[in-house]
Amino acid sequence: MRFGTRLICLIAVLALVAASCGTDDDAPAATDAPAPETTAAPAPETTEEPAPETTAEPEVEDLAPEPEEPEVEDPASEPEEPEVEDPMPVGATYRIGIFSAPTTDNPWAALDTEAEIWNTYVIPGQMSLYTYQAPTYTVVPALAADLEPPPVEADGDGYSVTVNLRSGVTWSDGSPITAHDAVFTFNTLRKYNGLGGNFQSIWPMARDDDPATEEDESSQGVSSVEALDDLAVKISFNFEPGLAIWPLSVGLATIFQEAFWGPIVDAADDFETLYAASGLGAPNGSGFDSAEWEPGAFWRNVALDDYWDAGSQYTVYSSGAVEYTSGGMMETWGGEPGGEVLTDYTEGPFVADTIYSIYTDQNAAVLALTEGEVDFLLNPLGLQSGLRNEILAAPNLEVAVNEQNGFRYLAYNTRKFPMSEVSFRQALACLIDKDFMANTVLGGTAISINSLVPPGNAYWHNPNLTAPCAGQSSQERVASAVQILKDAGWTWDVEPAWDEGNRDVIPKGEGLRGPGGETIEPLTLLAPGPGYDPMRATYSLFIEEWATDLGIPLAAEPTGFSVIVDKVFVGDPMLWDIYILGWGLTPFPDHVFDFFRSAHDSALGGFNTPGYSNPVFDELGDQFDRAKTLAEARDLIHQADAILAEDLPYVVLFTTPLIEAYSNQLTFPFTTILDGLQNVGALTGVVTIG
Amino acid sequence: MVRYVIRRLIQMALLFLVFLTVTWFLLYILPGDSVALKYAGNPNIPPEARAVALERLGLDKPVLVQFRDYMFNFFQGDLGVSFNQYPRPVIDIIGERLPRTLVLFLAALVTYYWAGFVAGKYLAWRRGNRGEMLVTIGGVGLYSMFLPWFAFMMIWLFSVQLDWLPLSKFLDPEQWRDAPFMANDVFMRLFWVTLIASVAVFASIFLAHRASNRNLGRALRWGGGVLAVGGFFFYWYGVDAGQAMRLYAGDIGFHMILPVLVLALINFAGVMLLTRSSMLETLREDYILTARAKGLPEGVVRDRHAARTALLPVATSLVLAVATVIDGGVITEAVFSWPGMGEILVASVVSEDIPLAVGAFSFIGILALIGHFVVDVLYGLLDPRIRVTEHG
Repeated sequence: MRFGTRLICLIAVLALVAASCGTDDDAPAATDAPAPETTAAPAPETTEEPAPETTAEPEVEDLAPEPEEPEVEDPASEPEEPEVEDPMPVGATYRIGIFSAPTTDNPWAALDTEAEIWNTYVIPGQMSLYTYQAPTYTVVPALAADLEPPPVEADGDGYSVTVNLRSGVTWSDGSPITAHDAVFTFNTLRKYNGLGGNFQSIWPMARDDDPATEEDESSQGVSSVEALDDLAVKISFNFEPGLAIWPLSVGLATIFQEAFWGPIVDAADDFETLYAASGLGAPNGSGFDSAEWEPGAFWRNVALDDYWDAGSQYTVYSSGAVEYTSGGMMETWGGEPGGEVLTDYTEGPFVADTIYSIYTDQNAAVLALTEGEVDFLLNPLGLQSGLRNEILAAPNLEVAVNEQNGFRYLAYNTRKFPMSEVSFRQALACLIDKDFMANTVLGGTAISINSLVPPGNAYWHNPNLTAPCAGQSSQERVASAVQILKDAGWTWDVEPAWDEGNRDVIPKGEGLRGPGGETIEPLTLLAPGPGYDPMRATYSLFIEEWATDLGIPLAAEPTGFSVIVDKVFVGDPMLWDIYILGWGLTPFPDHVFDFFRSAHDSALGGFNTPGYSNPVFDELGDQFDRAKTLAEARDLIHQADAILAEDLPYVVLFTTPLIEAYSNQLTFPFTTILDGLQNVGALTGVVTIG
Repeated sequence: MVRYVIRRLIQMALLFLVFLTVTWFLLYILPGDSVALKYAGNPNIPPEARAVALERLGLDKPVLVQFRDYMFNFFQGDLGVSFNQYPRPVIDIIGERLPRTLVLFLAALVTYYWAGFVAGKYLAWRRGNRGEMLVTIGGVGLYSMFLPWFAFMMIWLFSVQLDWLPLSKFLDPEQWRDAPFMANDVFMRLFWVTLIASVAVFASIFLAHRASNRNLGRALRWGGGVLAVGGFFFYWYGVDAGQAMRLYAGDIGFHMILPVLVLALINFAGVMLLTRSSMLETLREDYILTARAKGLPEGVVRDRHAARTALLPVATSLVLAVATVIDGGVITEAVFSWPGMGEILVASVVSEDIPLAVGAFSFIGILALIGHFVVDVLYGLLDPRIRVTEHG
């Protein structure tokens, strides 16, 4: 290639680069428009006393005075330039980093076949009769006018509840939300036979062809939803539901707007056609409208100018009670106010829009945060603890650390010997020194727990539970475990003993036999590998070693997450011994019964993977199903938790703190909340910037 | 030649069938299933709903029936629907990811092949000097870099310290606010316009080489080059369609610089060493000695006699690399937050989304086969010593 040719090539390359890097002076200077400082609302001061004189007028006028015109540099001078249809909204943009791309803009699909957290984060919320109030997760009215969920009453062959709706609650398009929308939602579920699967956990539907019986839970559900008038909806059940169904499932279930989705549903013969419809811009019940979705790059929601709840005042007490003031009227939800005021804030939104940018690598995302490219990182798992110091060192960032509503656990297959023996389960659990693991081995990145309801879920947590052999030294643990087994009739050829000189178990147990003289076949402990979760992988190695000390032939086997799930939830339940996995939980802890009732055995398609069977426990579960008050349900949960802590189908190992980082330009009304700010979508509706 | 091409096409079709079959069964026998994974987190989903989901996805059928149905649909152009993004068609998901992967990795590929070829040619020609040692050590050093670390170092340097380039992603969301185009439209426009301009440049060079006299050759070379570059500029500044997209295409191009630079720096050494060794072999050939003996200028001997032959293995490597470009680079995509085909491949395999995984792999297979075919034909064109015989 001659010089001239090379020169041309070079010019061509430079031309490409120049064209790419060149700015378009004539285009509307959207990004240059200064963000008015006026949206930087100060956080409402927390007061110990409720403020009954709060005026009806939202105090947001000062927050958004006359907008300045964006600096558009004479767009008329270049008529051929593309017109920007919707100029940049005035106000600050809340820039949020997310770690995976949303896969749909259809809110039906996002709640069902594409129920991914990333879709949930970005798609504006719909509406429901009741909702959880952050940060206490008290159930409070959303669309319902009744301050407390009305009780279910006998009605003909079944039961029903009539809920009055608030007037003045509107969809994002300004139209009122009525009982007909609830009816439409339920009828849509009926039309598509419960849709793709996940919806049936939200709206349990009665099966017409199979009347409900005590024995057949799957036929129990909502049999009809009727609109008594625009503002009253009657929900009928074919059984007497407890709290778990009403209000904590159906009362929180999503309602869609009939006016928008009705024609789509009418035209769609199958739910796949409904799910293929775009939901971008579809009316919803939040303070934002979905405006743009650039797949793989970003999602943008635009704040409503006339959100029906804007300016309302919320005061949340540690007792769980909420004082709500709107339009000059004050209501108290969730019992009598008591304890300290956890937060006191005005509903926004106070930002012009939210942009969710996708970062597929956590390090890249943290770099973007430190460089000010985003204001908040949304991740259900929070940030790696190793990044905490890096974030704390950045002068422009804040860190919020909250408890996670979840735990990692070890599960025994109680269908097989020796895991079928309570003494075996207790002895192995006795050897597991959870505090040592959490504080020493895992360096404080884990929090040792004993209850199936983590401490962060304070109302439901049972604080009286202790781990087997808690507080004992290694020597004492070995002695206790040996004693537990001996008391139950286990024997050894060589009994394990603690050697103080070597500070180890010498000799290790050999020839362990069950109470009936049964020998133990080699056992496998399935645990995620270090690439997936180094904490659980590490834990599994220590458990293997402790078991070996006792003479239990247990081998930890790093196994892919999907393989473990397949083996323990779907496969032959006799083909595994012990495994370690984890759960993320909901505020209402019905999992305590879902995971261990004999009717929910995984062999029958349920989630009782250990195959635990205890008639006393099952009876508590039945009582829980019928429980009508939170106090009654809590008492049953505590009793169940205590039984499980003794029987140990699971050994709850640890939970982890959830670390979140955000720009110090953000002001949240609160940052202490179970499962972190990510669980409330980074508080887009109340955050202020500046 | 025609018979050879037909025979090769038949072989390709059979090979693709085998490839598709093996891929499908390999994914099928992976332990676990996507429905179990999907529903394993929610105990309130009734078991009946899971059974219905299995039926809906066809996973309740015998394996051979599932395979037969898949193949039947595949060859009718239906790649099925994704299990995990149900009911989204696989072809939609691939169509969403493919343009951005193609543009980034093709740009990087062309850059590092061009840099590697030029560097390798000069290294061989000036063998033994200090520059050769420096470039070789530097190139091999970069070649052996750990990509994520090097990428973050480059991001730290160019984005954090110097603030010259964006940190990651393929666009700036705030600049794209209310954009009248989708990024994929811009990617494709960028791809075609750059491709046409590049083809025009190379066509002018090709014709200039074959021009009957020197003046005509020079005119073709300069004229073609100026035309291509001018056309490129004219499109973005003078044509309405180009003007409308210019700001957005520029933003994407701006975001491409750093990942392309990182990929080019890491990968150019491989091409450089390949070219260098090929060129050194060629320089020992008698016809090079003859060319020198004829008194031809050094540049002509190097570029028109030696480099052309040395180009053969590089061209083979390039065509095959093009074939694998669509699988992207999982690490590169992750570090630069450029979700493309690489991420789809990994995610679909991990979540056992068989239709999506097989669909994505099938694109790689098709391109690889086409790449091999092109190499076979290209060899005959590049090297007159190679002739296709009836026996292939």
